[in-house]
This record gives sequence, C-alpha cells and structure tokens, in this order.
Amino acid sequence: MHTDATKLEDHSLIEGDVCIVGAGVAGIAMALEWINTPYKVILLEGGGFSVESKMQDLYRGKSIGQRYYPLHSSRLHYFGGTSGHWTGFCSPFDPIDFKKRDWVPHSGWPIQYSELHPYYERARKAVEIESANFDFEYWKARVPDLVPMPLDESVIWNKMWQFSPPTRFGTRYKDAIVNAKNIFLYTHANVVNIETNEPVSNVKQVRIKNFSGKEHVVKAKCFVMACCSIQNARMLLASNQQAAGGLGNDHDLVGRFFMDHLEVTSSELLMPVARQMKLYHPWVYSETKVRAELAVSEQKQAQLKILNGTSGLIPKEIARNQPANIDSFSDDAVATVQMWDEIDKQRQETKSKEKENFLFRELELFTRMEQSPNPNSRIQLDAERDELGVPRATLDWQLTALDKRSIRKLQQLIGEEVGRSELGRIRLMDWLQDENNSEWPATLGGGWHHMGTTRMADNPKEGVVDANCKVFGIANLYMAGSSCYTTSGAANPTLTLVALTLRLSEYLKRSAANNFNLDIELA
Amino acid sequence: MTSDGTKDNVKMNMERRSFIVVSVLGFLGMGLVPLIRWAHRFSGREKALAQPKLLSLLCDSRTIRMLGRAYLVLKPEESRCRELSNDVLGDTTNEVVVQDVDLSLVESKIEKKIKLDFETSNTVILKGWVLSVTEARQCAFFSILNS
Repeated sequence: MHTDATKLEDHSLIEGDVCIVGAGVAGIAMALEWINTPYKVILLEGGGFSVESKMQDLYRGKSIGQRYYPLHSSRLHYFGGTSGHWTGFCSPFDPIDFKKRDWVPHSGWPIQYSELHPYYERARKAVEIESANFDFEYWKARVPDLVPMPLDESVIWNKMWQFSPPTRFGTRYKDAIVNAKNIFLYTHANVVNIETNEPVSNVKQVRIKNFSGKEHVVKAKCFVMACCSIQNARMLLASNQQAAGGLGNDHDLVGRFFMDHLEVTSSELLMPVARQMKLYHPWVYSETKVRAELAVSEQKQAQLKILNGTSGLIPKEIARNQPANIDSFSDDAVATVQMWDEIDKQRQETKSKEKENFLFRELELFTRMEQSPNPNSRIQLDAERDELGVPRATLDWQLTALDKRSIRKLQQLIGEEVGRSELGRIRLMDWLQDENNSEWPATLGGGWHHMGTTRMADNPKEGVVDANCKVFGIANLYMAGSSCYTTSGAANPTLTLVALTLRLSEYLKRSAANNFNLDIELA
Repeated sequence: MTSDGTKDNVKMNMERRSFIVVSVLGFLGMGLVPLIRWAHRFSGREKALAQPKLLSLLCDSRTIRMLGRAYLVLKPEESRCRELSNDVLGDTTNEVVVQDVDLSLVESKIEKKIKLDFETSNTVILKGWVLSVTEARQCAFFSILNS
C-alpha cells in the first residue's frame, strides 16, 4: 500500500510494528522479506518515485578532507535509492575482511564470514545475479574461454565479479511493495528527528516532514534506519534533543570511521606478446556477466601487513579514453539517473555487434583498495540546515599511510608474479614510485561506496551497533546497510549490505515472534 | 771503402729493420688494448650480461640505460663491471660462473636467476619498474658499457 505523505492531514499519526526508514537497497530488501507476515511494516521514503533536484538538495553537504564526490549526487534520495545509478558490480567480502588483523587498527567484526555466508544466496536473488558461487573454477567450467594468467594463487588469485542487470530496486520492486497488504509505504516522508523515552533506552517515534509543510509522527515497536551511511549517522547525530551528542553516541563514535574504497589507476602491465584477456576485460554495461580482478591472498596480506585489495585490468586503448571518476562524476543527480534510464531502455540496441578477440599486450591496473578504518575519517553536523531544518552533513574523508603503502605493495606483488611467470613487467604510476611520498594523486577517488559510520563492534566503546545491528543502549533501534561495516573489504558493498540486511531481518523476525521481546513505551 | 761501405750498409739495414719492428710493435701496443676491449665488449657473453632479455622487448635502449643509472645511484658500490658481471652470473650459492662460454647457457642461467629473484621477492623498483635485481644489474652493466 502506498501513501504520499504530502496528501495526509497535517499531524497525522502513523503506527505499525516495524518502521523502516529509507527505501533504498537495504530498506526495500528488508521490506520484501516482511511481505505476507502478520506484522504491519511502515516503510518511509523521503523522496517520491522519481528523482528530484529539490529532494537531492537535502543531501547537499560540505567535504572538507580528501577530495570527494558531491554528497548530493553520489547517493539518491528517492524510492529505490542509490540503485538508481548503480552499475551492478557484485562480489562477496572475503573471510579475512571480518577478522581481527593486528596490522590493521580497528579491524575485526563481531561476526565472521561464515555467519554471513548463508545470506549471500538470498542476496544474489535480490540483485538478480546468476549464482552465489564466485569461485573461478565454477565460472571456468561454464565459460571455457576465461583464461587465467599463470599466477601463483597463494600470492595473487582471481577474485570473481558478477554483474547485476543492474537491478533498479525502485522500478523492479515497486509493484511488490505497493501491492503488499502489510507493507505501508509512505513517500515524501523525511525523518527529521528520532525521539526516545527519557532514559534514552527506547525509540518512541520518529517525526517526518515534507515540502508541503506537513509534519507527522510514526510510532512502531522497532525502528530500522536504512538511509545510507551518511544519512544514518546524520540522523543519529541530529536527534540530539534527549542525548546531547546524538543517539547511540555515548562514546563519540557515530559518524566516525567513514570509509570508501580507494579507486585509482596504479600501474601498467606491459607484455611482449598479446594475451587473451577476456577473463579480466572491463565491464561492459548489460553485456558482461562475469569477470575477474587480481586479488592479494590472505597469506600475503598478513605477511606484508597490508589491506585487502584488487586490481582490475583495463587495456590501454580503453583506459586512455576514460577520465578519472573523480573528475567526471556529475553533480547533477537527476541528469545522471535520466542518462541511466535512457541507457537501460536502449540496452538491447547497444549490444556490440563485433565479436572481440580480447587480445591485449598493454594494460593499466586499476586498484580497488580497502580503506583502513580511521576514526578521523568522519561525518559531522554542519551549522547550516537543510530546507526541512535538519543540520547538513559534513564529510571529512581522511586516508592513512597504510592505505597508500597497501596499494604500492599490491602493485609490487603483482609485478613480482607477472615477472616470475614471465608474462611481462609492471611499471608503477609516478605517484607510487617513491615509497616515502605520502601524497595522493589528483585522480584518486572512491567508488561512492559509503561505509562504516555506525560501525559494528563487540562493545559500545568500539562501535555504534552490536552484532545484530542494534544500536548500543537503545533497545529498539537498528541500523541497516553498509553504515554497520567494521571494515570495508575490497569488494563493492551492495551484495554484502543486502546479505547483512537479510540477516538483520531474520533476527528481527525472531524477535517479533517474542513480541520483539522489548519493553516498548508506546505513547 | 768497399768493406767500410758494406759495414755501413749492414748497419743501416739493421737500424731500418729495428725501426720497423719497433714501429710495428709500438703501433700494436697502442691499438691492441682498445682492440681487445672492443672485441671483449661485443662478445656474446657480455651482450648477454648487459641485455635484459624480456625488458628489451618492452622498452628501448635509452630506457634500459636510464634504469641502469637509477640502479647505480641506488647501489653505487656495484658500479664496477667485474663485480656487476659476477653478480649477474653468480649462482644461488654466490659461486661465480665465469667459465661459461656457451652463450645460450649464459642466457639460460640469467633467465633462471631472474625467475628466482621474482619468486623470492629479490626485486627493486626503478623509475616505477618492478624488476628482478639481476635484470636491474644487467641494466646497470648496459649503462656502463654504453656510457
């Protein structure tokens, strides 16, 4: 069922069992899980069914650290969320991403890979990829002409990626959500405050507003914030009427540990003879089903004390026509979504006519590196407020020496492997040549993968949420999505954030069976 | 006159012969060393020592010379030909293999050594190139021979 909150009578009261704030990838993935359950689920979306400039402006914010993408266009504020400009890259996290690594400060999730693994199968259905199996051998059996480079797998291995169509959650799941009898979707319902009981142990209600000037209240037994990493932190910090530093922020951790993947061209691979490189060929929209990137083994990461990372291979003739993402990213979210919509419509016509031979001898290596968890890399509130009165977010993206050293070591390792296998030689880009140079190149960007602002930990001194994504100290407030990530891994976050959300959903259903087992004060 | 004249002729002939012998020896003396050096420089063995095989397929001689110079800046103590040549050819036990005259054998030994360097991370980054130390020494040797 769908209601436009601008059409409601002012000061309406909306009530349900579960309130999901945000109808992006995480919010929709969770809501789908609750269809046909005995529970009344309220799904709140700040935007409508189409992306609008005015709505995007609510996400506008300053960036005061390392150069970053415009905050108002790197995420989308409408039904379907950022999946509206998602390219569809899917790969799971690796087991090492969850482990405590003594060379990576603040690493170690309270859950391990094995606990998330069962949810990847369901997550892959939501993002519409063929399999939850990402082993190279599995794909090699299906696509025999995927020829790997003869590298030692105990050093460098082929990390496989699959590509979602990409699933635009807004269009793909709109009917399912709107037609569900127990899912109550409210669009133009921007949460502006989360209000708790007096000891700040339970959320009583959230207050919503929209551009019509109307204000409503939503009450539920349980609240799930699924608004993306920046917005999740922003809302906790801005809800500071009952807790001065914001909700869940007794230890000044909300908003800290903002992470993205470090994406940058790092070296070139030169070979004396051309090789068939189909396995590594850059993703082609709506054509590529699977491809590999060169990843560093767990054993080598430990030995060299570096972060997890991969390198994609891009033939030079393709790379030379690609400007750096950070230079070409549009600050017009509406235009970007329109462009993708147009491409989606034309996808059948744009399929390449010629069969490629994938023979290349000179390629660029594009790194996708985990960012070291860093408390100084953070989201804070700005003095300026948006049109609905919520303080804007300010991003201070901060990188560390470990981040850069890891990229250099990864390239060196690949260089040694291609040398050992007599494939060719690696030449590092100028900015990586001097190991004592701590500067970053102007071409460095993230993958607009926002992660880690309400990180998961064993205890409230090290994180904002527990192993079940529940905010420490608040019995009925949960965070969904990549804001819960303790570390960022090397893979894009979408598949894993869906898996983590499905795990949270299952946990909440078990709680629901016990009437949420909570001491809720419903006013 | 006749006898004295004969003696004089003999003496003159001897002096001319000595002059020619000394001149020839002198000429040979002056030209022999560079000649030997030249011959030595362009022996197949030294060519192998100074030519990083795979790298030569990827970049020109100017780049190899530049890489060689960069290596010598990093390791000035290795700037003498003899040491470099021993280091390039020395086997894993550091035994110097100088007696090999078979060019293909020399090249094969160097290739094996380069592969081992990469396997054991005995590498160096010069101007961004991730090189085996052995081939970096080959570049250095090349830069000295072509300086």
